[in-house]
Amino acid sequence: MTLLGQFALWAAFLLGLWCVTIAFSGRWRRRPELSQSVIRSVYAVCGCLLVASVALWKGLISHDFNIEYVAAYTSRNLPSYYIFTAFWAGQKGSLLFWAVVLSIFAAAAQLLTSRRYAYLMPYVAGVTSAVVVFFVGVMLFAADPFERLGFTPEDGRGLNPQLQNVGMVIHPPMLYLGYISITIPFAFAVAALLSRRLDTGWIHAIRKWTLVSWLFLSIGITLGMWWAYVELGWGGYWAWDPVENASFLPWLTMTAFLHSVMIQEKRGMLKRWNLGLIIGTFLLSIFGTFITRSGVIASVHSFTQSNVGYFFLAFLVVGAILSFTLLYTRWSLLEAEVQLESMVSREAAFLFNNLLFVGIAFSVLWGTLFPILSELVKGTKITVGPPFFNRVNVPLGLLLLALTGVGPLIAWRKASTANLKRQFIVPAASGVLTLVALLALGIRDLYAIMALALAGFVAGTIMQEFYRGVRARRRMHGESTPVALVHLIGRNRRRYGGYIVHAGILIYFVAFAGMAFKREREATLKPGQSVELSSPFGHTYRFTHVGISQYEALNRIVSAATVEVAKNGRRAGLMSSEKRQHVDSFKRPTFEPSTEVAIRSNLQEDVYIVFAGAVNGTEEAVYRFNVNPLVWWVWFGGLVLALGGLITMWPGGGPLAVSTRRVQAGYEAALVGAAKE
Amino acid sequence: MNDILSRRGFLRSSALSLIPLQAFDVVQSLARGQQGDSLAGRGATGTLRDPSVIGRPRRPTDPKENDREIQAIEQQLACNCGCTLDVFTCRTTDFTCTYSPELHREVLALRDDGKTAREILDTFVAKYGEKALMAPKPQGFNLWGYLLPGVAVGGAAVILAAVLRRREAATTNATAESSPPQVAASPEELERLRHALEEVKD
Amino acid sequence: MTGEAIAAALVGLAALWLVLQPLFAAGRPLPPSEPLDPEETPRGVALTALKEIDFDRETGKLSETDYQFLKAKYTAIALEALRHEPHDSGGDRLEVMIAARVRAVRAPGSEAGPRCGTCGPRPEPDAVFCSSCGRKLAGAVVTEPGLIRGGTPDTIPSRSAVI
Repeated sequence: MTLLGQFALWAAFLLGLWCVTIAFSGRWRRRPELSQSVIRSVYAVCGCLLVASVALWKGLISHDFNIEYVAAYTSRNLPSYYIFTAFWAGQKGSLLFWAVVLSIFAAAAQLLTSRRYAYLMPYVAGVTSAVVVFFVGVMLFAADPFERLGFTPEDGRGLNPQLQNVGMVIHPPMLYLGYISITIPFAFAVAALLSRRLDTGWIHAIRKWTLVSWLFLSIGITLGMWWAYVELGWGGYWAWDPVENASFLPWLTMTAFLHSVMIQEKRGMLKRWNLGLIIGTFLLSIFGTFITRSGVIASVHSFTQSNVGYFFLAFLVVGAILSFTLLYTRWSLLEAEVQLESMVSREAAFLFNNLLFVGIAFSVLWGTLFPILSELVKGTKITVGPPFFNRVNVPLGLLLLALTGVGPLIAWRKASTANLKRQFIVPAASGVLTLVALLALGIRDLYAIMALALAGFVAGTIMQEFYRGVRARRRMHGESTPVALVHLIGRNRRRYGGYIVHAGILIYFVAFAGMAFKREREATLKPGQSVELSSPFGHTYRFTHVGISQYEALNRIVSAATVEVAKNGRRAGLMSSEKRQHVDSFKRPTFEPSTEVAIRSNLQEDVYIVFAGAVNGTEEAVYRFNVNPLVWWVWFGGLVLALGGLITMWPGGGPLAVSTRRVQAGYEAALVGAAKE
Repeated sequence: MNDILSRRGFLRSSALSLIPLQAFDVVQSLARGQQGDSLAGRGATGTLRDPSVIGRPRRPTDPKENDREIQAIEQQLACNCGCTLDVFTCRTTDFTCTYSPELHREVLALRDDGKTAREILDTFVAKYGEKALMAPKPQGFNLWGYLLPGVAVGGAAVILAAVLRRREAATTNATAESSPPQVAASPEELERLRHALEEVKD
Repeated sequence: MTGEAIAAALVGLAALWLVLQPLFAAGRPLPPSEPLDPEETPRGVALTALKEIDFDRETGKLSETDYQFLKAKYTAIALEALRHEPHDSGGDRLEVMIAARVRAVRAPGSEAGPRCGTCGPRPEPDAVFCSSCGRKLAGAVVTEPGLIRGGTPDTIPSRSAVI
């Protein structure tokens, strides 16, 4: 199938070039048939890339080890779902995955965007196709997924054991979907700049897209934390690794945009800033891929080093120069329509929120690049690890958390300080009460105390917002409480869905603070021996080593070390942590032995057991036992966040829904009228 | 065709066998345990059928490995195997790494010499260069690494506040002349507005 | 191998046809451009702002003086937006069409619709049976097929109340 695959890639490349050339020439403006051809070529590129993807999947499924990619990432005894996910497990396949998903998004953008933005669409097609052409070009000239070997190995190498995990099936696609969908808002921004139609049109056209990519990024990052937690075995979920940072960066700027775009919609201000944020977010997503694929910065996630990185660097530089030049040439068209009314207003709070988001993004980027900079300046290599990032970012993050509690209390446009005081009483009391409670409990970790007290404050704000909103509806419309709550959220999905997202973020912060109290100890145990570990919640765990059993599974030899766990003197059950030696179908070892962690989770804390190894080939086992507080809440926070995001983007419902329906009906009537003539 | 069938059959049977086999094996191993070869708390420690598949052989845990101070020191030292982790995390996570146990022993040796945490870190810097620390010391140029983000955000906040204040003053002056705002509109226009507002759901 | 080559050729041809076909097709007229989303019109923005100001007072975010100030200011803005609103914009188009239709039907001696022998002219342009007595209409012809079927049926009765 490599012939078909390669042909499809070339077809996509050439059709994409056609699309880019015609779209940017601007000649379609006077010739509607050209603009139709431009948009059709987006669909054609999408079709070709789908054919190429099917060809690669066919190669993977049929174990065609003559294809280099198939031999490098799968083996005959790899479970079939991992054969499917091997599509994006390696450099070349993930490039194809990226290209095909982007082309699907590009086609969806053409299909789903209202015709009222027809003046933007060929440009949008041009930008998305340019990015697709870049990815396909990298594949064709540097990393061909259909490359054949000179010989056919009997069996492939198999998939890296760390990638053989459910988290790995969902996490990369989610993150990619987030990264990739950023291209669509970017394309609209560039289209608006090119067409000089810089009213709020493009902003309305991308509303759903920005939320979609933000949601995918959020879910992708959370799943990434989950994967790191259950698979990497160090007992944490965030290590400020360059690749983690790379996924965090566009999330930060996108979140900033989601806030500041409301100012532009409501007030016609911040036009330049919003365009800058979208362009920056797109460039950061490309920067992320550059980091992952170039090996410039050492990371546990990186693909094997290759010259693909230079392509990305070039693309990044060219993209940045072109888009910021374009922004500069349209600068004078982007005057604000009105000025800020008051320092004390939601707008002003959003400005400071944007400052913090962009500030944190800058500081993460700065830390990620600082080793390179320092080496250039001082000539000595340094390591910039978690202690650096925590010291720099935790204060900024806490400030942002505080602002999450302040912002919603301030009215849009204008508020008076006296009135604000009344707004602040309940949330501030909630924060102070939390603080007192924490101190009474004897907690002394400064950052944890601050995070939890601020969380109390923010929770007070969110609850007050819902309470007062419901009360206002009951008064204004005479609704019962449940009806008022449903209408409150339904009629202003962005605001109240946003508050639910805030609640999710708050839960994250609480969970992160919990990690300050984790306990761990190492122990070497003979069967029957046991060790105790007390948890921050005051429980005592007793771990008794039962033994090590060895057995064969489909594609691995497993050594499972089993521990009997007792909590506060009562038997809680058995937990097994494993060493897995992966083998190919000829029983030849393929990778270094990997470790599978045993985890038991509840609302308070996780018991986390790592089987580190055996002493002298006996059943005497070396363990690491962790008690990690509040980890469950990270995943729950992710769930709440996703729920809030979904509410925010659920279609329909806006305050002008009636007018929208009427306008739509009028348009359809006019269409019928036009068809008759 | 034959090939596809047999492969599908193979995959299906192997997928089916995966979970039950594991469960069976665990049960079996527990059952074996009860026959006495490695029952908890009784008899000698059994030997493994195949020690080669379990990773590098380990030494028994030293009590010092649970020493909070040593852990704290090791959390500030970078492992030099290229893993980007600190020595403590690497040696307790990446069991294929040969560097981090070595560095761990170095820390223990220095500790036995009676050195303080500060001195141990300094010895490592002297030996491996500044990259041995997980984060550079906040000195000289590297101090800027720590300060710049905070300074930048703080500076930008001050500038932003100043600009906002000036603009606010400008707008309030401008509106002061026309305030209190008067709505000049005919009754029909007001009626039209009322009608339009009815359409807006709240 | 040949099968694959044929498949590749088919894919290529299909893609080429898709992209080049519009260039050879006679220039079809473009459909009328879709009206703006009410949320992005100055009218929509101003009306939403007024409602939001009301709600913010109700939840205690705005003090009474701030409320009076903002209410007056944004009422002025909303009135301005309404004044500049083009009359044949968006939703009005449907109403204009319906109004024209109604006028035509009600006009004395109108030939626009079918007639029932006993009940007189029928308002439904494509009626086959009389909606009043149920008799088959003489000379029932489908005069305007699209309007009712093409429009969203549920919006039409509700809007007719406005006329």
